[in-house]
Amino acid sequence: MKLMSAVIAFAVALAVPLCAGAGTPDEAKGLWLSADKGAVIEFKSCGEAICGRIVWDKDAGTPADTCGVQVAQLERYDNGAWRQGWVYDPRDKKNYKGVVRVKDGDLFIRAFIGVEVLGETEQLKRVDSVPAMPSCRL
Amino acid sequence: MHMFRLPAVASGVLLASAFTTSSMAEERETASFAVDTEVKISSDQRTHGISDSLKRPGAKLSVNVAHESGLVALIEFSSVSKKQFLGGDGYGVTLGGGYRFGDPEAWHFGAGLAAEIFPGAKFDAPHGFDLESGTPTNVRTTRYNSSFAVAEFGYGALEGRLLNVLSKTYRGADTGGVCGTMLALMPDPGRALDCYGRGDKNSRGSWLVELGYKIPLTPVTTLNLHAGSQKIKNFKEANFSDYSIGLTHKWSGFIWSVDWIKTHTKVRELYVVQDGTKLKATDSSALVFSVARKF
Repeated sequence: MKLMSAVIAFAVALAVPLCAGAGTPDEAKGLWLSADKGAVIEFKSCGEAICGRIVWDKDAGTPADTCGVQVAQLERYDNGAWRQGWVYDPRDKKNYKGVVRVKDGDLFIRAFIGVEVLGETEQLKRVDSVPAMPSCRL
Repeated sequence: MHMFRLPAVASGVLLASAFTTSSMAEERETASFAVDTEVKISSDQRTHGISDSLKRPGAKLSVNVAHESGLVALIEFSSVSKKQFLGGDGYGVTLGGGYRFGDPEAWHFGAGLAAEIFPGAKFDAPHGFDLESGTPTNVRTTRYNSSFAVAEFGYGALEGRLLNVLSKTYRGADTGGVCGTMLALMPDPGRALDCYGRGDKNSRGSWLVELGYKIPLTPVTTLNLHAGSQKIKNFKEANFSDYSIGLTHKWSGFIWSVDWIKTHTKVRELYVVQDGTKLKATDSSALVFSVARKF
């Protein structure tokens, strides 16, 4: 059990910084590369809300093209995250409740069912521009 | 719930509707439930650090259902060794249901019930020992099926799970299963006779504790730490603990994992299995590879 105790202490120590690095409302705006590097999503204001839309897709121009698809809309910035809205998964064509937050410079989009704990998170990296090819015809 | 994969395929109809979206905010109905299916193939099928597949490759099919109320359910089919789960059909079924709540970034909790069923699997073993005649007595049949009360707790990426055994035994751990195995396999019968001397017992009330922590290294790669401790009621000989460290990497639509698993058992004879003329340990350390796909 000594090793167990050590593991618990290590894990708790790692868990503490989770609250660190929360962003501001505007930090979520910009271009973000998806985890599998297959798409770039642009987040920008849409009225009082923030909206995310696919502006680059590695499959652009093919039947799998998702260019232009709006994948998120969050209405309210609260407690370090954009909340109260939806995120869209083009793969299963379903809308989920969503939370978008910036943490340590990365964007975290959480899609969930009903309560936030029933969901999964995608981590995206900020990029300055979209790749040149293939280009989305928006 | 499906892994949130943004750049996935969309239908033409959907795309057409998406292109008409204006820059103004719009309302959309969100899903009230999700069904998540995963198929996993691994080089060794382990549960709490113990191999269920006699250290051979195994497969697992999991279906998770989540409802917006917080209710969740699970059914899982996994291949197991018929040499370990004697008389069985070679697979196990896990059923679970419960309720989850809280903030995934902070404290979150869950509570529920679960059961492990190994269809057809059972064994006969003596539940007593007559010291005067030196013969085992009271041979009875025990099944490996178990049921649990489950409590989950977590803070951020730190996840804990506590299971209390509600069924008569944890995977067949009773006087026949534990003391009988020790009597059969240990060179010195002394500890087995001590075990029999405690009377005919079962393992209802055993505790299983798991703790896990996932550290994202990149958006698609995660370092996984795990520790578990299992306290088998009335049979401290069967107590064991397990630890693992591993990496998970998402690539090409699959989830690839490699884990170094180490298990510490008190009486190894309780975790060996007759395989032909040889005895094989199910608790030895192993590097386990797996690949999974969600649907």
